[in-house]
Amino acid sequence: MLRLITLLLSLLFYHVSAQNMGRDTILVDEVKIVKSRINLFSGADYKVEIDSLQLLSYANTDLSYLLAKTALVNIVNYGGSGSQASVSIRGGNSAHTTVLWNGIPINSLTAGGADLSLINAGAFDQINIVYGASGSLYGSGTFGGAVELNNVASFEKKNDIDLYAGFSSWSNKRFRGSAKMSDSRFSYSGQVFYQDGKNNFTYSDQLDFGNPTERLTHAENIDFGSIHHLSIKLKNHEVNFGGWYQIKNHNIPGKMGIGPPVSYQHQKDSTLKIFTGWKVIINKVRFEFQSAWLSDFLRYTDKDPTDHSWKTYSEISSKRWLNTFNTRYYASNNLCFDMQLGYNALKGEVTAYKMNRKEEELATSFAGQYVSRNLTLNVSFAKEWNSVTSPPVVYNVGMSWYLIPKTIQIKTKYGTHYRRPVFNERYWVPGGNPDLNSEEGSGYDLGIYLQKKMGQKQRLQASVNHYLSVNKNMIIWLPSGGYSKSENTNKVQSSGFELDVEWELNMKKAKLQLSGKYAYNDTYYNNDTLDNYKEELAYKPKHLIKGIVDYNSRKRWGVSVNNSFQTKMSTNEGTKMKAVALTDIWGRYNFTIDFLQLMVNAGIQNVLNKSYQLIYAYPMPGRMYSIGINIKL
Amino acid sequence: MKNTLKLALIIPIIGLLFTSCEDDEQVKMKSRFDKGTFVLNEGSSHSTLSFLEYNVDSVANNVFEAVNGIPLGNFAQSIAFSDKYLLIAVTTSTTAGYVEVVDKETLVHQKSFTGFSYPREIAVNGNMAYISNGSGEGEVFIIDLETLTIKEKSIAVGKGPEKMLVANGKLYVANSGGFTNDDNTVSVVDLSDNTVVKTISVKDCPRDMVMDKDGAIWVYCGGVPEYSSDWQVIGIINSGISRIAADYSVQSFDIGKKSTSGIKNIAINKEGTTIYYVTDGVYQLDYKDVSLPASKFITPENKPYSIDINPSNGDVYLCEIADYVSPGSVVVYSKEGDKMDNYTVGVTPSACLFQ
Repeated sequence: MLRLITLLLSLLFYHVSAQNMGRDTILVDEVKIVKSRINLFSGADYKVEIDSLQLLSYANTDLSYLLAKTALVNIVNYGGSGSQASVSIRGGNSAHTTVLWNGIPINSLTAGGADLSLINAGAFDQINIVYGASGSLYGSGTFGGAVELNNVASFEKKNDIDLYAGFSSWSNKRFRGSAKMSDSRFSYSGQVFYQDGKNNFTYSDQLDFGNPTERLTHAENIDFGSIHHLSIKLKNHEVNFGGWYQIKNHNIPGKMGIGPPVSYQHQKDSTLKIFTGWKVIINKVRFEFQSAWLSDFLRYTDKDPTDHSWKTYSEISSKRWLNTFNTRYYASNNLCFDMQLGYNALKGEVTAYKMNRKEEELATSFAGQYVSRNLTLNVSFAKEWNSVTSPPVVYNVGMSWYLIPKTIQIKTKYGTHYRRPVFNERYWVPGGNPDLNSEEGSGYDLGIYLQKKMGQKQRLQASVNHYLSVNKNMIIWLPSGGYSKSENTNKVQSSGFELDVEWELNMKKAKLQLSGKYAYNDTYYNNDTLDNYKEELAYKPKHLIKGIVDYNSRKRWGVSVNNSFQTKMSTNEGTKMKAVALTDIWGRYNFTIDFLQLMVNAGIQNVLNKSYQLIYAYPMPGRMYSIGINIKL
Repeated sequence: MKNTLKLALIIPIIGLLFTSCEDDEQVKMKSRFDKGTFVLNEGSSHSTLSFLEYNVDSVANNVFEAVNGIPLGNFAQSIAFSDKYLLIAVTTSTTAGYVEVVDKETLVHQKSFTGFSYPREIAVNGNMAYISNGSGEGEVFIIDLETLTIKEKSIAVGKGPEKMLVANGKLYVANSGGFTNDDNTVSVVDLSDNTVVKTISVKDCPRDMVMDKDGAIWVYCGGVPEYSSDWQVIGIINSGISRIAADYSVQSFDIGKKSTSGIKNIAINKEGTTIYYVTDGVYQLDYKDVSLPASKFITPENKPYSIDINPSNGDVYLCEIADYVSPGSVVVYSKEGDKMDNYTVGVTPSACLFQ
């Protein structure tokens, strides 16, 4: 069936293309042609790219540290380096924030969220935060937004080999070797990384009598992996390959509370992700095919110290084969249409499911774009057919309009979202509910963007973005007889705004960048028939502030100061967790020895040694020193 | 340039200013807790203790933390009184279980007994407190309340021990099967030498017990989930109530593929004549009955999670929950089954204890 549809579409577009031959040539911007479907049609989304200097500072941390210090997102972390961490945006939870690697969704098939401790911040050329990402473009689970991790093919003549060794407090060691090789037809980037650490920091146990100073034990972790990206250009064809393998062993430490921290829990994660893609441009038609295979494994164990038997022995394994075929037709310089078909095969092998679970999905989406001199209009809609459930049709309408050309732009969009129930919600025994519906909702964004050059030296960029998002039937686990059962029960509303100001000064001997970001979010239960009507959701800080100062001399050195602040949060019991304000300082010094280019990178994270928690009762590390050296061959 | 550098300093300084913004909320709290009912709330990330004062139509929530300045911990399972103390067994999620001992009238911390892997229930007999422990092979630890010390030797019992009950010099221990649901016995421990003298088979997953006027033990057995061919829960099998007579003979009653997820599911009045148990509602029977009632005594509005009877007046205290993250309620019914009061307490209320 899929083959037939693909063939028909190809013939249709070929026919249309052939009809246009001989007419006036349509000059389509090459950048637009190269752009992926998501990038082209998400122009009205509020999207922020993490600054390259910040990527450099946090290149040797996991993604949770980078995002916590640089982006208006909410990070929860179960206890420092190597501990499970997740990201949420605009009051959603981690399953409402899709993480994509080169366009491929990598959130857990079984649990829904993405564990950021398994993602090295330095493994990608570009990291974007997409606030309230469109459901019709990004797919399931984007009520909050999306995080894009991209490896970008450069196709410029380049041969770089980098070696890095870094050491930080609590016996943390990181080593990385990376290579980038490219010319006009070939682009390769790849790296191998290794990290281990004891993570045995001390903390003041604020949940024990007398607030004793305790040392975290049973918190060791070892992480090893490799990630690669290869692109080859052959005339008007481009072929891409990607691979990511990683394995991590992690002891899960005890928690704060009465008595010493005790734990016998262990987690092993491994993942293999590979993809291949092909795209070709024939006249005004662009074809792209991508196929990805993702295999994730997690083993969680907990021992009973009395008889050394397993309290819990749980294996969670999933496999996904994800395929998309995309065609885009440029009807004129101003107008293009896009259609995508998808087929996915999903499999979950989980101890608690009692049997292997398989699902298949077909998906289709349509998008169109009209561009005039100062106006861009986008429309997209999509529909999935899943062998177990039927998600709704979703759509998105967006507009970007330059009020003052190249200076002030207004962006607005309205669209619908959905989240397909994940495997655990459907198949966990007991309590998984195969009759669950997808979460459904809608939302709008309205933003004003300013970009201003002030003379030759200064550049100012500012934006303010207001949003509203509604989830009509959020999935929650509820008591049901002698067990818990997942149900579509609760309405949730989230609203707020983000303010972002960046100022850059280019001086003769140095460059200074100041960045200030502020987000306000109000997320609450919105079902007036339930007792929790208007109650705020747990772990949703109302205010987030990030302040970054970067100073880079033209010659050798640079320094960054990162401040992050979040207001107090509620736990599920209503306990207010303290506000968190953290300051990191980073310094860089570049020098050369013969043909070697060296950079020493040193940092102090949590400079003021604040005691804090991001998840109730899980202590986070205090002041942490780190130093590393990067050698470029 | 000077202005630029000033501006460069402003952002870090703003960040530092926020470091002083801390929650300084203070909870006003009474100093004595001598006339009322304690409600233990399991919670989702941490447990709390509520207090319903007699003749006062209000609830004081989170009283343990208000008195002691630190929270109780997560997954507190049971509470019990001794002459001087209130004991609370806290299971935790990380094998770091403990028993917290506080003054029974002021709630001031006295001692924490740590090192339990999975503490569940407490039974007090004079100056001794018995703690059931273990998610797999189970044991009972003994705390001397006179010296506040724990005895070195524990008593090995069945899997996943839960409720204990002291009667006639014996300690009855319900072995629920723990994480694997694979036990169906009650261990009988002779308290003179702390040895198991009998192991009695009942229905599956025994969790809670009461003793009637004749000395018979009524055991609430939660049963094991029953699955369809594609592993969907379609009911509970072999759940029921087993009655252990004084001569250890057992008579079991089927409660029909139902049970609750709480662990306090059966209660009895002070006289030991009227028994109440919870499944999809509250059922009532006389201790002389030879079959279970067909109709409900109380039909609660929310999911019933635990039941207790106020010994002073026979009122039924039913803990009800809507989910595992919202505040639950204690609904008070008269012994005739009429609803009298409804108190909003902490998340997942699981036990009431009457001063």
